[in-house]
Amino acid sequence: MFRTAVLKIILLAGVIVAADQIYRFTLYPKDLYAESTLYTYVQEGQHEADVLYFAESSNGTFSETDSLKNPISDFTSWHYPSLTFKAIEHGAYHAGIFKTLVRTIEEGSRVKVLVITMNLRSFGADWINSDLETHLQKTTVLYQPGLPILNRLLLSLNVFDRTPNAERRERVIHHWKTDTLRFPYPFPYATLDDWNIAMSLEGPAKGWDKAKTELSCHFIKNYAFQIDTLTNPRIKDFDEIAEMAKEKNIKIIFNLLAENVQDADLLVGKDLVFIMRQNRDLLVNYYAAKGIKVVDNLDAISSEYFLDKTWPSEHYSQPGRQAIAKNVAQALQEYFPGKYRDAW
Amino acid sequence: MLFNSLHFIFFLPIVIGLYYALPYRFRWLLIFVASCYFYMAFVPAYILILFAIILIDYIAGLTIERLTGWLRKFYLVFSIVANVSILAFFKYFNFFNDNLAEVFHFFGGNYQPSALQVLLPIGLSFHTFQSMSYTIEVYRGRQKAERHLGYFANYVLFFPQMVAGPIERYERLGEQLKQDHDPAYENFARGFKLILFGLFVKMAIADNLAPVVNQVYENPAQYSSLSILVGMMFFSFQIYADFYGYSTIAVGSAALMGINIMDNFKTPYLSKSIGEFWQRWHISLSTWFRDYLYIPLGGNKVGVPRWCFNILLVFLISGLWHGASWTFVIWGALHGLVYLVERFVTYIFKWKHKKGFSVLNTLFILKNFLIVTFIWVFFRAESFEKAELMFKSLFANISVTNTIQVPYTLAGLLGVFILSDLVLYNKRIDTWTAQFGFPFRWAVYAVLIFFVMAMGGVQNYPFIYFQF
Repeated sequence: MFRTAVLKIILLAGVIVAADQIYRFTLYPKDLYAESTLYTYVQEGQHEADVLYFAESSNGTFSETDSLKNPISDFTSWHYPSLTFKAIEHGAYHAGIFKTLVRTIEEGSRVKVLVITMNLRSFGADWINSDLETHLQKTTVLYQPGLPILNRLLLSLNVFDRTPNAERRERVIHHWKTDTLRFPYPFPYATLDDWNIAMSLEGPAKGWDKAKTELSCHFIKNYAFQIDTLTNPRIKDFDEIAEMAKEKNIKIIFNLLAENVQDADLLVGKDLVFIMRQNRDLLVNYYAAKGIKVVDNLDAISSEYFLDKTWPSEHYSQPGRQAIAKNVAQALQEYFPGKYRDAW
Repeated sequence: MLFNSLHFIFFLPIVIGLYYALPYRFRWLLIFVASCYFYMAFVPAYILILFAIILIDYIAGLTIERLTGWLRKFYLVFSIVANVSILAFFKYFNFFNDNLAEVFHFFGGNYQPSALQVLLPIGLSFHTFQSMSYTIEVYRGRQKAERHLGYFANYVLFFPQMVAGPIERYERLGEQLKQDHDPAYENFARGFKLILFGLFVKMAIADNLAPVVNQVYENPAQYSSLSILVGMMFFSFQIYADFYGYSTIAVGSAALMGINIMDNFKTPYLSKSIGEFWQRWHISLSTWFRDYLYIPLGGNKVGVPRWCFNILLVFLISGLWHGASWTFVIWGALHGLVYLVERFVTYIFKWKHKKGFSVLNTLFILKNFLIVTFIWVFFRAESFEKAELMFKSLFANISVTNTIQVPYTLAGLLGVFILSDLVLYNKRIDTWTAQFGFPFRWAVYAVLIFFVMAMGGVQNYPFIYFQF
């Protein structure tokens, strides 16, 4: 019986390998396009483009009143007419997903530089434990290392991070209530939660309407955290991206997006701005020490060029996108000497 | 724990390995621990409810056997009332409360029901019925009371069939659980074939049909009549594939331990009448109702009016067993009514269905499938109003051009599934493949493996019958 079983197991393994080959040439491309669209863009882009621009919705969101509705990646490419840029863009994506895509870039590909969007809010507990994360993790399953047909089975069996939304929410609240805020000066609130509660009372006391108070609280919930390079999962994601780029001999730029610092100051005050800039300084210096350029756009754009007025976001009108694009383009000069052109 | 999960893929071989590695005297403990672990993967605390059911019926069984006279009946009634009460509390409390409020409002009263925020313990309907069958059989003198609490617990808890059946009788399952099974190649082969086929049916068929069905049922008014009809028919196949797939995996998992549990389905959509349908669909439930409700009510050994009443009552309760909603009651009632109409028609015209393939039989099969499909609408729709909207849209949307998109791969898979039913008719995949040589058998396995691995639904849907 044992010998028969072993032979049958070997035969089974052979069937699976054969099935994998059939799957690769039949259904796999369609499945990839349906479930992991950005992976297909990376596979195309790595052979066609000199620069891959990884981003979330900050890249392509525009205002209907913009005369030019092009994304940031397009505006950046206008400064390098001799180069090909390709945007790898999807709403809510972050470094944790970008790294899985960067992993699939082959050594010896045409890509010379990766521009990876660095969204300050993505370092916060709210984004790290977002309800969207389950769907995002699902998009990465099909192109994990290993036999495609095994990955397809794992997709059917829901083998990815499917933490229930209620548990994600609990984690967010736990961080808000326990992560201590440290200031170099006396600050009345020990945690984000304390600060948020105080703001929710302060707003009405100042005569603010409900919308304005809520917006202030949103700013606190999205920015009132301090990045710890040892424990923050996004730092780990960016570190892995940097490492992989180095192994593949590809240059890398982290594009720290602009935040609405003016509104943060107006609504919450200098303490929140302090934390935002403290996080910015940490990121710039941390990666500079690793030889990686962080394009600092944090204060680059004034409030009027932010599209969303009820929620802190990184959606910009045309001047905002062009300003960021110019900063990125200037940073790219180091890797493409002599190719930079003024675009507008 | 779901059968179609990585967790189960690791769990099962470990349990099977330990089952044969352990000395016989410890196997009952392994099954007990494994079954508890399996169940607690859902909501751990609810294992206590199963423990309560087990204790009640274990003690009731011993007591019924020991006592004489009216006390025997007392303990039987106690067991039944306890089981039904537990089921009623978790499953029907809110339904009862809401309807009581409606009655009060109808008469001008004011009753504000407070809803019970409890989850229905998974598989509770199955456990209570399975456990009740034991005490009833002990009372009838057809089953000796089990003295070993562990063996009895395993009968209720046995993980392959604990959450969605088949509902087994103690004389079949309980006795097998006590036997010493040696590892046998035939059992492993049979088990893996059944599990593979069950996964194909659940993952490649049911889970791929679900999104299309959901699309139609969510907003039927926007789809063409043909799309709605397709959506209805797809649900017929979805619920069949879902439950049949689960049951097949359950049978296969038990087979790996040398334990035979009953088949719950015998190609039900090839039935020529509702009566035949219920001999082929969820067989363990229909036989339970036959043996413990229909026959005790008098069965067909009573006058015609009382017989009609018995039939309708059994179908109504069967509907209610499936869910605490009037749509399920309507679903059951419609099956009962159609059954009665068919019986009267065949009686009046002295009609007897002939066996074998014929054009007439094919028409009967299609007729029955359509009837069952239309009745399923009440099962699937979340409310009577939504069921009504489905039928209204079916007849009114003839000129609507918006159609659902059915991927060609899904159409192909469904074709394979229907073909498998036609080919397997009254057989199982393991017995059917056994008649062929090695190359053909392995070609079938290879195709099934491909379907499971490469074409499973990407949205993992829970087994439909888990909600019952």
